[in-house]
This record gives sequence, C-alpha cells and structure tokens, in this order.
Amino acid sequence: MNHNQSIYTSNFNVYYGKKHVLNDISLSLSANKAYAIIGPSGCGKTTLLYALSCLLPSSARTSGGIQNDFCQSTAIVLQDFGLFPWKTVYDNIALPLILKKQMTPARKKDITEIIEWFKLSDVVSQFPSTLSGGQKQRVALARAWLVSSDLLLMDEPFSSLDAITREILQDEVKRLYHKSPRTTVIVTHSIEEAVYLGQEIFLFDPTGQIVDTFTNDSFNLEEARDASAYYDMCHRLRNALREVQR
Amino acid sequence: MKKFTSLYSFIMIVSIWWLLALMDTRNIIPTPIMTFSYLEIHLTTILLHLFFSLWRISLAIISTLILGSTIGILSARIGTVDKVVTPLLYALYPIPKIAFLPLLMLFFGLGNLSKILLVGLILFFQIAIAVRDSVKNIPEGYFMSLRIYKATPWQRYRHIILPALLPQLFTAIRVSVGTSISVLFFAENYATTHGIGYYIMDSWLKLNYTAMFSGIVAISLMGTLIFAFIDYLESHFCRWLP
Repeated sequence: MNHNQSIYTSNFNVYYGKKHVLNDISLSLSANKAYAIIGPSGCGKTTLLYALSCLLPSSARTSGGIQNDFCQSTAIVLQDFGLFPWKTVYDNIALPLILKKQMTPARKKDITEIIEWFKLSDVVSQFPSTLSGGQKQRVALARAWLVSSDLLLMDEPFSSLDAITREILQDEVKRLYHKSPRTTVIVTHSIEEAVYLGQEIFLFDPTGQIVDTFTNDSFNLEEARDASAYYDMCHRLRNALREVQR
Repeated sequence: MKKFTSLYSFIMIVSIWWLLALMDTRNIIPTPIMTFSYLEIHLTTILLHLFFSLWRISLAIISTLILGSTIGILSARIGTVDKVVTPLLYALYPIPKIAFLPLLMLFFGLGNLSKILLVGLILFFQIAIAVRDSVKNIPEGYFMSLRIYKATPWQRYRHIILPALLPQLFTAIRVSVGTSISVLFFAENYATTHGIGYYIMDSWLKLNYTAMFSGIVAISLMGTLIFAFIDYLESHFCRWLP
C-alpha cells in the first residue's frame, strides 16, 4: 500500500445528458483515511463513487479536474451486495482472484483467512440465495477486503439490513479498518453510520454540491457509539442536513 | 417422491385409456395391454424410428441453441443489432412455421435437412427471444462488480451472461420442445420411411390401430425422455436455483 497516494478533484462536474449530477466538487482524499458521504437521495452520491472508482459510464460527460491514484486498485461494496447468485460463497469471494488468474496456494490461504474472519466458514459451499442479508453483506465485504485494494468504496452497504445486523457489521468494518487501514469511502443516508464510519464527512445538497465538510473527532474513540463526541457530531450533522433539505 | 408422481400419472393415463377402449364399440381403440405387447414384439422397429426422430430433434435443438442464443445475446448487448433483429423476430415469429415446409423442401431437398430446419425454425424464435430478454434483464450491478475488477469481455460472458441466461433458456427449450415434436411428426409424413411420425401415419393408413397406438406411446416416451434430460441438465448447471 502506498501511503502517498490520494485522490484530488477540483471543480469537478458530471452531467448525464442535460442533468447536472455532480456540481463543482473539490475534495481531496488522502491515503488510509476513512470518509463518509451523506446527503439527501438523488444528490449524486453514487455518481461520485463511480467517479472515484473510475467507472463512470461512457454516457457521462465530465468537466474540471480529477486526479486519482487508485484507479487500478479499487474494491467496491454495493447496496445490493453485488453477489452472483450462481456462484457459491467461496467463488463469490474468490472472484477477483479468479478473474486475475491469481489462484495461487498463498492467495488461497488468504481466502481461507478472510472467510474465517468474516465467520463464513459454515456457508462457503452454499449459494447466496440461502444466506441472510447480513451474511450476504459479509460475503461482499470479504470479497472487497480480499483484493487488498488501496481504495474501498461502499455504496449504502448496510441500508437493507436490520438495525442489529447493521451495527454488528459496522463494528466489523471498523475493526478491519483499524487492523489494516486503507482509504475508505462510504456513501450513506444514515447520520449515525456516517459519524461512526467517517473520519471526515462530506455533506451533499440536492444539487450535487458539497456544502460542508466535518472532521469527526469521535471516529477513533473506543466504543464510539457511547461517547458524547459521537452524539454531538450526530447532532451537528442532523442540523446541517436539515438545513440542506430546506 | 418424484418417482411416485410419474407412476401416478402413468396409471391415470392408462386407466382413462382403458376405459375409453372398453367403451369403444367399434374396436378402433386398442387396449393398453394389446398396445404394450405390440410395442414389445416390434420394439426394434419402433426404436429405429424413434432413433431417427430423436436424432433430427436433437440436431435441431443443438443448432438452434447455438444460433438462437448468439442472436439473443448480441441483440441484448448491442443496440444496433437489437434495432435490426428485434423487428425481424417480431414479424417472423407469429408466422406458422409449418407453412414454410414446402419452401424448405424446395430449397433444401426432401431429406433430413428440410425437416431439421423446420423444427429449428420453431425453436429458434422462442430461444432467441427468451435469451434476449433474460440478458436484457441482468441487473447492471453485476456488470459493475466485474468492471471494478477489470474483467475481460470474455469473462463477462463466462461469469455473468451465460449463467444468468440459463434458467430462462431451459424454460424456453421445454416450452418449444413440445411444439417441435408435433411439427416433426407432421414433417415426417413426407419423403421419408424413417421416423416415429412416419411410423404412426403409415400404421394409420394400413388401418393398424394397435401399431399406431404403440407409435403414439413411443412418441410420448420420447418426449418424457427429452424433458427428463433437460431437467437433468438444468439441475446440473443451475444448482444455485432455489
């Protein structure tokens, strides 16, 4: 992992036809920090993720600058998990390595370790349709983590899970982050999630503009959810979000 | 459990048949016992005819599978192909393919080729349309997941498109196999002395109703065999289906 890598955008715009999706985005993401992007739905959060992963569809028109050192080394976790129903849990996790023809004994050992870490050992040979939502998202996270990319993008990864499962998985992501830090960007519409998983939080308004950036002091606290700094941050963010939606 | 259901349906069919045979005062319908013993005596002859039909139908299925899936995939994935192919599919699909038999015979001869082509024509449209629709319905997220890991175009086919289209493809084959057996029966009435269709018609013309009925039983068995084979393939290649 290269500690000097980063992403810069300056006055970056994205249009789909006449629709102005991202509006004058200027941000800088430095290596191995955790970012959260929050805003009302339809504000271009997902488009920003695609831009960060160098996956903007060819129909999108862009202007302004974007410099991205992570293009070749990005992993993504999608809202609908992005699992292939016709592949077993194991094959879903191993997919990036299968595609790159890197199924060496050493890498296979990595897969086994990841599977154990995410407590998926019992279901490796099952198909996704037999898994619970939480297990599916574990598989998606395991796959993203396996490729040991420099940039991990998550597009509302926990939004379809129940509250208890969601907290457990948020904890797991945070533990993984602390174990092997990498640049992480999570797009979410949950204030608590943004505050729990974002060291720095970008607030979008409905026109696709970043209106505010918060530095979140509660991020590195143990048991952050119980800390008053966490509640303060949630409170500030909620007020700001309300302001934006007005 | 599945064995019992097929046994149950067999018993049902045979008993209704028997009842009809008993009610038939003109002795046109042979009883099941007569038919099955006839079938047993003439087994080699009937199997030979069955083999010819099975061969024609398999050839038609395999070639249309390749051609129909290719057209379907291309039409789903490439906009310009879709614009050309879809109107053609829609215009030609409703035409009763059997109306093409005289033309096929004129162009491709009276032999096997015209018969196989006729069955193929019926299968082709259903397979092409089913494949096109199932590929079109693949959620964009799947492709996104592969693009992020820099998959090659071939890997896109191998890991997404092929597995995603299989379930609907199997359904399409099942739906069209019934029709194609009926049409093959019709096509085998012309310019051939082999095939189960010929055998049934020939027996009819000779007023040998017992032979005709053993032919009908044989055609039903052939259908069952084909369906069982398709089911087997599906359970093998689509193990992930719930």
